[in-house]
Amino acid sequence: MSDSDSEEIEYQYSDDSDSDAEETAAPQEDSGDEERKEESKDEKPNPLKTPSGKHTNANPNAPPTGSSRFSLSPDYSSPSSSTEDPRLVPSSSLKGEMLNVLEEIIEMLSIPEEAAGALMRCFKWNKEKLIASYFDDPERCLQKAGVLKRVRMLEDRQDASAPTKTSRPLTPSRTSPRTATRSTPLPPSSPLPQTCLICCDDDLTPSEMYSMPCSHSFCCDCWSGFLGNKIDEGPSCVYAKCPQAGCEEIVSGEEVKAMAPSKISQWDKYELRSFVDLNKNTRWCPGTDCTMVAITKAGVGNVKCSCGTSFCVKCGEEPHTPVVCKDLSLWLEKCQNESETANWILANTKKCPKCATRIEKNQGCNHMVCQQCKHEFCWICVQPWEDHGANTGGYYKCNKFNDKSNSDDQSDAAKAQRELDRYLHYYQRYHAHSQAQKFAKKQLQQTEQRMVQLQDGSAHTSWIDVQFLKTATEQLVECRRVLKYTYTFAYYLDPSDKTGKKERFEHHQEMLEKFTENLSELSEQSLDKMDRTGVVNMTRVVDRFVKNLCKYVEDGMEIED
Amino acid sequence: MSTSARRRLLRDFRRLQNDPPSGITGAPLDTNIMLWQAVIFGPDETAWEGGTFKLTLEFSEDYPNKAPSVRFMTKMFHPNIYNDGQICLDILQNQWSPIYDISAILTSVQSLLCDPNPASPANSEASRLYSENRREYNRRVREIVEQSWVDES
Repeated sequence: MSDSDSEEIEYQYSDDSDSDAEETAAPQEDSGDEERKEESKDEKPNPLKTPSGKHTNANPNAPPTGSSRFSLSPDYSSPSSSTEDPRLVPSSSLKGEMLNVLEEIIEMLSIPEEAAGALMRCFKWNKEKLIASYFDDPERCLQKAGVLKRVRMLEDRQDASAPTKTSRPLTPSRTSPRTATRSTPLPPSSPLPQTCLICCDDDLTPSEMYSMPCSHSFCCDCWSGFLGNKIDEGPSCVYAKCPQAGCEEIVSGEEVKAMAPSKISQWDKYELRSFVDLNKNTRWCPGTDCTMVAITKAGVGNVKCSCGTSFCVKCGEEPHTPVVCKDLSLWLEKCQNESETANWILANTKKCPKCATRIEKNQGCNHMVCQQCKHEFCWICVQPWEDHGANTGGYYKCNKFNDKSNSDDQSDAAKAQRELDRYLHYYQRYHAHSQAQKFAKKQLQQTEQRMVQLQDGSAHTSWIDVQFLKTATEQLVECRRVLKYTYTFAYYLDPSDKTGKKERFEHHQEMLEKFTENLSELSEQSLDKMDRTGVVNMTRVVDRFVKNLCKYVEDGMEIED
Repeated sequence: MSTSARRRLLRDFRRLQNDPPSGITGAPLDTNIMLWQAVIFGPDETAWEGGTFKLTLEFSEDYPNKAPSVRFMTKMFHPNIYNDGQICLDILQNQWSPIYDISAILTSVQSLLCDPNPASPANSEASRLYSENRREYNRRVREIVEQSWVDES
């Protein structure tokens, strides 16, 4: 939890410097909205932000909230049970996880552990693929993975009946490297001098030689140098082959233990790293300096790490339902490229439609009130707010892209312009919700304090009674996240689709947007006006709606019966 | 580490002197055993016949666990040799094995001259001519051969 503590300190620090900058840079504003503004401050120093600064809720001298802050963190800090999917494991238990997977292969194919590891690496830890390939052509499969000799040697040993003793030990000795010679069998009576092909020493005794199961012997010093060199080269050492030119037999931990024992911990590290990196069902937590690993059964799913980072196990990004990983990566790449254009800057600030003051939105709700002229408008479409909401008969019509430009113009420039317009339509909304998500997260950090205040405000209110505020704000973060990705999703929907899928999706999106705005407004109310029942109900409605929307997309957006 | 690389290079040198492959000479610099100069003669009865091609070989302390860096100093025209003399040869990269020695490296480079691999071109023009216009390719190679005598002086 030290993470969240340091984060808080950092945040409060930037908060202070923020308000300094604001007091000089921004115009004066009414005190009526100050409390609301305070609750969701921007992350970065922000000269365009509306001022505040009299009632600072996020006071660095405020009573410490460290212990209660703990409860804001997710429940994943406790060791995850094995039934969870995806589940998180610390890197210290990776070895066990890997061995569990190998165990099955070892048993099924009756091969040594080292061979199983190399085989699985070769098949990117896809057990089904390995097994299919193995039973299709075992010889080729083992050859491909560079373990043919290793497996065959074990079989030979098992076949060899007890009376004829071979010079090789039945089980390779792992503790005494110098004696662990499984090299070319020589009659023990005549120790002919041997030559190492690496250093070209030609007066070596058999005990000074060592070989992998492929029987290519080299002297122990050369082995040690060879393995040390490979391991120093980095993670690719797990693919190192026998030093003999053209030999495809792959090096394993067995050789490292015997010939370069000082490097074995490094080798083990690279082996585990390769296990996580290659495996489609595992992913390192992308959180800074976090060493947890998410493990899934099917390679999909979202997970929340004890370090506070949520991520999609398949692609490592923030959870992004309803968009699929592939579209998200296209989208992020596109946004990256487009961000260099001036349009991106335009998407970050807007002018008040009435008095043209430049405004940057610094809290979650899309219902904007200009501090200069008191004009109320919608942040997304910049139309008067009166046109929004059910009471005036007009719904929240802000999510559909209407191709207003003259579509008869088929020139390349016009097409490019239309495509840019289409992209900007979705990007602006994506960006708006992305910002709103950040504000909601900030709001979540301050919710604890508001909960304390709310509890203190009335004599017989318990801590449980004010939990609803936290739940609502968490729900708000979730809604903003999903809404953000609904625009990425909609961007990649076929615009020429005639089945009405797009319309239906946009309808649901519109509803979710409406509910979210409602919830945002309700939960941001000042404490004396807080409508607990309203917030609780809206949280429940929105939660259901988000889940249904995601389910609807998952099911292929067919019309419900 | 350093001694093992040097010891091995001395053995390589001895072997190269006692049992030199045909058309190949090589020796370390007087001042630095890690830096070698070699000459490969163009194989007889090929377009390369008569050419004397100079190379440098630079060894690291990790030799023979790591391949040396090998470069032609003579100007070359060959599908797998870059303009700056660097050679695109598998055994000098991912197929390197510590059992290779200097004599094996130079023999491989020599056989590469007459047996190029147009699939991994380092010189696209040479690669194109080799596959499409062998006459012109051979003419350009002979030009290089004659130039190699001039370089010598």
